[in-house]
Amino acid sequence: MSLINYARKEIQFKIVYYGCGLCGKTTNLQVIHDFVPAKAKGNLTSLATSQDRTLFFDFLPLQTMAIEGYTTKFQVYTVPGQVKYNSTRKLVLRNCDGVVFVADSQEDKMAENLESWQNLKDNLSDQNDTLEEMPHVLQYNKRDLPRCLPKAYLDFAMNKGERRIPTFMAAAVNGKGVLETLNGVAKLVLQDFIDKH
Amino acid sequence: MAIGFALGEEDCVRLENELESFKRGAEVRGAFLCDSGGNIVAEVGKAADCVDSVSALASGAFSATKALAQAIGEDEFSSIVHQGSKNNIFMTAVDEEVLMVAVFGQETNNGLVKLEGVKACRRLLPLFREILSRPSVPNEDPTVTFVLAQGSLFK
Repeated sequence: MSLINYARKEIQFKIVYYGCGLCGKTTNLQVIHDFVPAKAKGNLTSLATSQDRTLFFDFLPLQTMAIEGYTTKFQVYTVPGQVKYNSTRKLVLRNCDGVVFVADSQEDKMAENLESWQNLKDNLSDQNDTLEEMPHVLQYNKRDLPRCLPKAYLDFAMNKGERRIPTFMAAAVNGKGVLETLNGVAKLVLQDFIDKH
Repeated sequence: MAIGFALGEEDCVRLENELESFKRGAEVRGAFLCDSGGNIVAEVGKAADCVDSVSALASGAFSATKALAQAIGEDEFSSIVHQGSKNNIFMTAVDEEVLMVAVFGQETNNGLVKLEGVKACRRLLPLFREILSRPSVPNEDPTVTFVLAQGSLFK
């Protein structure tokens, strides 16, 4: 849910990184935090277990001058990927303006990707949103690993709707494709905002 | 999909005045209002170095506490106080979409903060009802348009 503050000349958006457990959502945020200049970012906050699995969310505030005359703030979150944390995912997904779905490209992770993809649709539906109306992109992550599925196969499984979803190939652990994905979703969120205002 | 809400200059002044009045009355160090997505709506004083992070964590914690309340048969716990050895934090719901958060030290006490918090929420609630009931595009300045800046956003 975007928030416009005309007095401060500021607009805020919420972007959520979604996907199955260990697909690389937190790594995306860590890389963004490493790459983005200090003046454009705040602290990276991670609520994780002692085994470094996300328990509640990771959070990174970013700011840019994407809209002329206004400071544009993006509050970037990840959800916990493990199946058992669905109530937490619902909380984090509330009032979001855009979604990055991070898919693990490895062959043996396809079932988990599809389960999480369906879970995203169900959770959006529970809050009276739909994926079709929500600006979103797909990131095919872990392209550096052996046994990763070809893009055509992943597209056939997850991106065969009437309107093709923008996709980004990434190896987040090496920083590849991470900022491209962020820029991709941010542009969709901004365009959606401008269309509605 | 919810398309958010907008604050005009007059809204900001009214919200900040109410928040300032709460800050003085409760003698807290800093206070802010945030929405359920963790976005800061208004802020007075200095609650923390990185208020964005505190706001995200507070809205998450408050949402989790609300779910916890519902799990044991309560509608919600209307306010929460976390006490530390030097610093404390107070969170209370103004309405379903808005949270008020205050950070304070030893200079005041929980009872006063809670009391002033309840009074402030009563004053803030009608203001938010009015803001949230308005159409999302404010009519106060029809010349306002949003133009995308050129180039990559993050490099």
